[in-house]
Amino acid sequence: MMKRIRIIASSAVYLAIGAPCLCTVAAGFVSPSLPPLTRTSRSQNRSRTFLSMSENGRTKKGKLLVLGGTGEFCVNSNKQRCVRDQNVHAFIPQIFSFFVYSGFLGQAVCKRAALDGYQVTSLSRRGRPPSVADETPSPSNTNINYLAGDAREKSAIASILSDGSYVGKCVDFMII
Amino acid sequence: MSHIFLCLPNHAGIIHCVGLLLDDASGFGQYNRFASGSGSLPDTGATYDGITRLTAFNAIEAAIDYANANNLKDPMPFCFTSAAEAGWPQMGGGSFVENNLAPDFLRRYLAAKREVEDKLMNAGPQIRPVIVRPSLIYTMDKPASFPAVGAFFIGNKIGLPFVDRPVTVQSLANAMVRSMSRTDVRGVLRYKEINAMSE
Repeated sequence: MMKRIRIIASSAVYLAIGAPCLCTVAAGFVSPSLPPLTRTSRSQNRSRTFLSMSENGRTKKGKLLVLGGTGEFCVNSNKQRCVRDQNVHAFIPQIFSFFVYSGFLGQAVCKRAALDGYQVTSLSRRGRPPSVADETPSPSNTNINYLAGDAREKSAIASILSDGSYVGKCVDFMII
Repeated sequence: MSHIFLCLPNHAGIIHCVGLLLDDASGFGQYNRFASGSGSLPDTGATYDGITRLTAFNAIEAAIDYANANNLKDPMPFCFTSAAEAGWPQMGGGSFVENNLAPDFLRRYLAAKREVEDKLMNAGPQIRPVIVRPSLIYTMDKPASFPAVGAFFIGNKIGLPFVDRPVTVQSLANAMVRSMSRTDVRGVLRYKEINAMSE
């Protein structure tokens, strides 16, 4: 009995919570602007701090960082995160592949990864967001390849991962 | 010289951020411009099954193929953006809310999320699954969303078992990117783990 009362009470509170949410959404108060990852702000300062540190907190001259248990990686002069490849005995850029639809979270993740030195490939319906085109070039947007495509087609994803043919001219593999 | 690298196994991982809150079949598709943080609108006929499940299935299968083709030493990390409500069956009162109070489109939304979660968790040893389950996602430069976010904070604070605390988009992005390089991270991340990883 007590359990049922608790469930009913919880449901009532949940509806009380949901109502203002729906009102907020319906009123259109949520502005469509992007998260302020590239602005001069507290979050930007945190981003820079993280960029200059390794997971274990140690850094070496030349920004060579060591990750415990996950192998070596470094950040090259273009602020791209690179890993050591045993086949070619060199550091090669690490690439992220993102599949973004609506863009709010996806763009924040892309910028976060780019700030951390990853080379990012973003696949979305509209490709490069209009807001990004007006931004001043920085590591948070120059390391991102915005591609327009449909992730509902498996071939689009597979070609990005396999040989880069879908990426075409957007690929920018830097020589270390 | 640069083309040498095209076939090298240097993909660090995949993060899936595809999704929509109100699909076209819900009848509220046009309101997605308000519910979506970027103000985007779904295509005509876009459903949770077609947008969330199909794109994620494609990406997971492509990742498995990629891992097999390149004989990767470590499993390829794959991060999927789920929802806190996808874990309702494991939360007190969550099943009741879902079965009796949730609208039909929310049930379809959660069904698509859970299908992807299941496929990702059973993708095999080539993939390292990371599933983030955020509640409301907000950012400090959108104060108009604070009432809704505050309500969820209060609901979580008073102990409602099926209301998770909202997370900032920056915290969530931090956690998702860091999960790529941390091989010890695997499975479901709720708001506590998300906030811990983003610090």
